[in-house]
Amino acid sequence: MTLTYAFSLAFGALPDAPPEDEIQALLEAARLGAEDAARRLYRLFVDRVYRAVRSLSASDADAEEVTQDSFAKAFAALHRYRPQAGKPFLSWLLTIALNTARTRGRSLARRARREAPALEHEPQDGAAPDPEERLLQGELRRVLIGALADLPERDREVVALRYCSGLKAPAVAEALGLTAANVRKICERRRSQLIAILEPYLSETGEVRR
Amino acid sequence: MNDSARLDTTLIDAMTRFDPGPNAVRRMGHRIEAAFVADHTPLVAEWMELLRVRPLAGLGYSLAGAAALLLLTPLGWLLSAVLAF
Repeated sequence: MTLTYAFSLAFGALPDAPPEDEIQALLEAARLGAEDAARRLYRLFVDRVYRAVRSLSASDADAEEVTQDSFAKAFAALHRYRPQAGKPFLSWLLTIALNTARTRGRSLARRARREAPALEHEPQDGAAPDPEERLLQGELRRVLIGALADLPERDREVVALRYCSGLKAPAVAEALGLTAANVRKICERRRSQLIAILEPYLSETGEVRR
Repeated sequence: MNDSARLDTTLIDAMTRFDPGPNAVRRMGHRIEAAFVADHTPLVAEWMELLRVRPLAGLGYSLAGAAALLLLTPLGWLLSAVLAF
């Protein structure tokens, strides 16, 4: 693991993707059946895949199923994966996840409103111990889910890949069959819209960066 | 950092609310690992596993079977005699 990558993981921000040559080595080992390599690939990408899938799913349980199915399908199809310049492994993995989510027909828009209260979500490691803070975080999550649910499906997928998984515009464009310019335009429009909705909550948590 | 990059960072940070909890990561990991192992185990190996001789388990099952025969046969006779009576 490179120092920059370890640093970004340790500080919780969405890190840049780990070096592609490291990923390719792990993929090669996993293709030959090395469980350790598969486990490491899962650990490297589970957060990014789950975030994107969660933003497209009706509940945490759905997102969990779609995520595990996507990884299982990807690992079973590793022999079909061909590395391409400008198309990171994550992009291929997310394409599988998107298709899995679509196939299940569990898009967020139809059912997000009926989702269980956000506080039922399992707290993450290092979650705020203060009940008021946790309530605020849960509320922010609920508002975010609602705001994403109001987006048209294509825009929601763009937001999921760009902001939940951290793909760059050209990779998002490639995964969704759009042009990079179109992706940038959608991102700009939806970003302003989402931040306007989230701003009151982000101000309270001191995260807004204007 | 320009405004656009700052807003990108704000939204990316906000999306970390969707991170899976540790239990969810563990649950998914176990299922994915099981699927991975199953995918990479050849069918022949699975069959060979079924045919594998396990001397200790085999001995245990034989002893349990013998004990059952020894105990249940006289009990069966007794029961049938009682019913006939």
